[in-house]
Amino acid sequence: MNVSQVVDRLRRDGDFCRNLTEWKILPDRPARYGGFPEALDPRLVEGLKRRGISNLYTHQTQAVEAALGGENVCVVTPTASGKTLCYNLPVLNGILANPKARALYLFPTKALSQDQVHELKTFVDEIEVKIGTYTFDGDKPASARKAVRSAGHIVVTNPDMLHSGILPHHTIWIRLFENLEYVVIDELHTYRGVFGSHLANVLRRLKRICAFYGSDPTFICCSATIANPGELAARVVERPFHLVDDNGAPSGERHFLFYNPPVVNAELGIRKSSVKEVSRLATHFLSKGIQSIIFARSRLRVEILTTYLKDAVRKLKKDHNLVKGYRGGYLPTERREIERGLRDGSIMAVVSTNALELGIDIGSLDVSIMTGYSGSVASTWQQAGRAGRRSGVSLVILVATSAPLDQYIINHPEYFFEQAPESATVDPNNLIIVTSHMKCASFELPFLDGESFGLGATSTGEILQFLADNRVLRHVRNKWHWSSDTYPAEDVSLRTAAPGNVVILDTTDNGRVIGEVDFFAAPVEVYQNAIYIHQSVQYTIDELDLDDRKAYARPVETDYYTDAQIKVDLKVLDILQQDRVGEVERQSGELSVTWLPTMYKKIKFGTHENVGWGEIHLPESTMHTSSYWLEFPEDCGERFKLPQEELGAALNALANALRQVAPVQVLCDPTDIRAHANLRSPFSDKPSIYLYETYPGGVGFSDKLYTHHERLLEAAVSLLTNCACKEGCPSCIGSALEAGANGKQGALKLAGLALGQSDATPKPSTLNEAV
Amino acid sequence: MATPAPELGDKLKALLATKGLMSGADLQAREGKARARQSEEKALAAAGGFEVDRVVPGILEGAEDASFYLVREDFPLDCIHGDHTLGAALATDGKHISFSAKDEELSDFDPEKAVFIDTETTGLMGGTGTVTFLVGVGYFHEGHFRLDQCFMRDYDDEEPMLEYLAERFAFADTVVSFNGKSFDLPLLRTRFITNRIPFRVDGIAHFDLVHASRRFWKKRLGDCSLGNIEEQILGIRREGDVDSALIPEIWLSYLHTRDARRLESVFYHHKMDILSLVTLTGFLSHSLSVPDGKGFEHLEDRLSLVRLHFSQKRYDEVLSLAEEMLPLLHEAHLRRDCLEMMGFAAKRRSRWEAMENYWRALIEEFPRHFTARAELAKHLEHRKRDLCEAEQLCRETVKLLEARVSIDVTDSRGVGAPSFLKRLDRIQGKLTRGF
Repeated sequence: MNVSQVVDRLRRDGDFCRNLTEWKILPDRPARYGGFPEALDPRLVEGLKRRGISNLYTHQTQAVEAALGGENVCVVTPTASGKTLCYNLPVLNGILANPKARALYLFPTKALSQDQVHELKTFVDEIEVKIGTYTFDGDKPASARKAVRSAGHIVVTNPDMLHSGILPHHTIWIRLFENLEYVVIDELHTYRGVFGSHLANVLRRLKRICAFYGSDPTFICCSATIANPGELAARVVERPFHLVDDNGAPSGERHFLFYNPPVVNAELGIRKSSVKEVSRLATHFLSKGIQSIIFARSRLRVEILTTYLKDAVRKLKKDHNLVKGYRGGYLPTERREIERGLRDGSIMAVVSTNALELGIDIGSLDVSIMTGYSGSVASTWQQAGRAGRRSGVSLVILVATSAPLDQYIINHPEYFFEQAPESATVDPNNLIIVTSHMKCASFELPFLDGESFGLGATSTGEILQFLADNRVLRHVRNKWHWSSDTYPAEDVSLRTAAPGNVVILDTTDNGRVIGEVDFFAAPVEVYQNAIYIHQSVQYTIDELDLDDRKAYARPVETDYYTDAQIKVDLKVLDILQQDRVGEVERQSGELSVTWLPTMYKKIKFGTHENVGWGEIHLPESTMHTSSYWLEFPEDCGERFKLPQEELGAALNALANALRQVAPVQVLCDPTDIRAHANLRSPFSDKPSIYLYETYPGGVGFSDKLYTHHERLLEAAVSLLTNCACKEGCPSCIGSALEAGANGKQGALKLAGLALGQSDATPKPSTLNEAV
Repeated sequence: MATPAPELGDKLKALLATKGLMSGADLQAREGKARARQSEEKALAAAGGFEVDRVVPGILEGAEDASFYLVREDFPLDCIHGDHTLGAALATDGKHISFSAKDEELSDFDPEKAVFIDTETTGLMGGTGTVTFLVGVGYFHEGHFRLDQCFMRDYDDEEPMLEYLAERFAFADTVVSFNGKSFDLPLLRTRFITNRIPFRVDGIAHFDLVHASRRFWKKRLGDCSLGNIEEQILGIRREGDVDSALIPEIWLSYLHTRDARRLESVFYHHKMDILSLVTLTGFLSHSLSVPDGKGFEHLEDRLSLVRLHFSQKRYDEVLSLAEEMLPLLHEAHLRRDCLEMMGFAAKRRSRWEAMENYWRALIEEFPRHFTARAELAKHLEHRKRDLCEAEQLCRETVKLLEARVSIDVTDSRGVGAPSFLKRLDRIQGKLTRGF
């Protein structure tokens, strides 16, 4: 059965269609061509023609022309729009004109680098010239590295390797840096928040080294559709950019369905489990021989879904290896095998976290199912793009979970289809990040008095002085020299705040490494007695050794998984912005946050009931970060006739709702922001709600939330009012038990107050009612 | 861009003190270490100025506002270092050096045109931030061995020091080092590049003693560090040496305290390293100049010499050395290695009869030596055309190989039953066809 037949069948399925809130058909789009730029070497044009490419799409033509003209280019490229030509053509053209020329390609992951090198090599062979293309990542033996340095025209790597393996050794990469003409940054949209802030600093270092060797490369960036690709490129690279966003690539007809699992308990607002619904849909496609990709938001959900689907396949009397899980934490070889299986069709369904959202080559799949809203418009389009390439019908189904944000999106399809995607935020001047990279930069070349590193010269000087005071640097005459016997890049991880991931070892299998989690996630994911799931095998953690970054696990069989609870204390350190909205203070500034994992719950598979709990014994952690918060008038409880307890519940409910909608307003991961409510803030004695960033110092999200205060509260109000429940439910305010009977109404009153509405009964916004 | 607050330093301090950034244990260890270091430094500073000139005599070299500290020492040629004189190195023959280094470029090695190099650095991890704060160049000069220890009193001494070294290198046509190919020279190159001074050493020959030493002594000594070679081979005892792991920290803290007393042992350590390069070079060349491999007293070392000849395809030398030492060898693994090399050397020289004897000897002593069996079978079948014996050998071997499954011996060359079965088949075919 092909996809169109399956789509027809679904259309006639009343039970299925009843749960849909949207059936959008995105018509096929014909190609638009722009021709080969004149400046392009005829050998390249010939090579393309031999590969069956007789013309360039409009965006390719524009990008190549601009890059050849020496402009920094940022190309916005949806999945499968032929973005690689946008940078390969100018780069190869440069090397053909000057065999000494070099280019550096940066991909966020190793897997993407390998794909890219493979594709480039094929093309280079086609045009029959000697152009060396090499990946340089942690996996290369020392002997091969030498070849990369001397013979590699195009060095393909990731920001982490550039940061810790190349820049600190720039003298042996002299040929690369003296002749660097192009720097390509693919998947630009992934460099937001902490990662993007780090990358911006790595690039500051790169430009510093290039200047030392006398080169001044042109930057070419490719981004998925986000609201501000040009701005992001300019923020990350700190150069002006020519934006190309006129996509000329064709695409086939695509059916985009919004599916809300049916309500099973109206009073409590409980819906059928999204995981089960997805598993049912995916099994249906599997039985029809249709290849699908299933996205889930957490590692845990990926594992649960994989288990369900494997069971279903066994029932169909088929090989369970047709179904695979895929997520961070799997080992590289495992991942490569799965990617291959998807391309050659030996794997019919893959369940993945957003790891497969990026441009890893897995061929074109027929169906993409999302278990829950990914948290952003941009990434949802990326995931949807995994189904269907240039021609033919494809199907995308978004299945909502009962999470508030999901319910908001599923009931506002127009929000999704009409609203511009989110804008990405970075803060290259986060003090911790910029200071870390100034250490690395001093190791690479001493700073000179008056030099500036992204920040102004004065601030740069202050940080240098700070580092000298701590004896990391030494100021002699007009230079600041690295003065320590350590290797600073080793202590700076671009992806997390903490140095070093925690590896998970299977003690029953000679300490085999089964996976890893980042340092901050470890106390929440691999505490003692936690259940850790890897490729559907359950492990229990016997010991977590944070000092050695190790968690010791052994396989077990249980019918539950575990979920950690965390206790949080906040202290306001500094207020940077404040403003009064009616009677409510909105503020942003700096906080000190102390958190302590206290206990975990055991939750049964299938029924999701709570079947027990245990204590977590780990030390508390303290962090300074940025926050946006609201302070309500002291008498608001009396005014709304809410006793203390209920006011607390209302604050919690609103905090939870705000946190749910926040990632939609600022493009960030749901885990980048946390919320906390205080009945009486220790700082002002007023009832307060805090939204704070999880990265030390913050990377700009708080500032953005402060700016979008109104939009944020309106979204929360809309979420609460559009929810069918009476007293609040997991779909809007989180756990109904904790929120109490008046939680939802109370939250709405508080929100009204924060929007400056004196009668405190907020009007539902202009958004439509639920379907 | 947000304007950073004026108290940027304080803010940073608060942020970096964040406990979540590192585990509690890390933080405590780090704080403890810092406190210990600072109190130590305070004590040193309190003891009064001990600049480097009060610890190791030397001169300021360079211009007035751009100089470094030079410690120069001239050693007479009959100066004894361990069991040998420094002057003995003057008899070094390029032929032996290039042979031991497997590097033709060194065949014109002239000790009077060589610089002996060693560096002390701020770290062992490498990378552009690692500084070579003490660079030694030794060379023969007007009837002496002269050692220049070039020392940076602070970072601004680096440029004049490198300028001086560049001049020094200009006189040399060979560099001698111990592990300099992978450690000292890359670091020096980085220092030169970052100071924008041309690094001429890349263009000249380099004799890295670590590789030569491993070739002769690795099998016997295992540990081929310079220290161990000094003790085991050169008869050198160091007194008042410093643990080299401490060296970076000693210099870094001297920068702050200006107390150079702990550097005394660093200068000593560095001097000894370079003097050992000289005697080691002389000793190696001398050992190779004694006829019949007798320069290598230990048979195990002498066998390493045979191995080196073998790897350079000097089969006549292999055969003559090995013939002589075989009767002296008693340990089984040494005899096996020796006979193996003899067999292959004879083969390469087409000395069939000798070769046949070596393979037979090997098989007799090591019945499970399948390589020897394969070689002998080939010889019997194709060259000697003794099909009957070849057939018998193959049959016997197949039997052994089949038994091997349960007992197991490893044959490094991976000669397996299938290849013998194939050979047996072919020979039997020839026999029936009446060849």
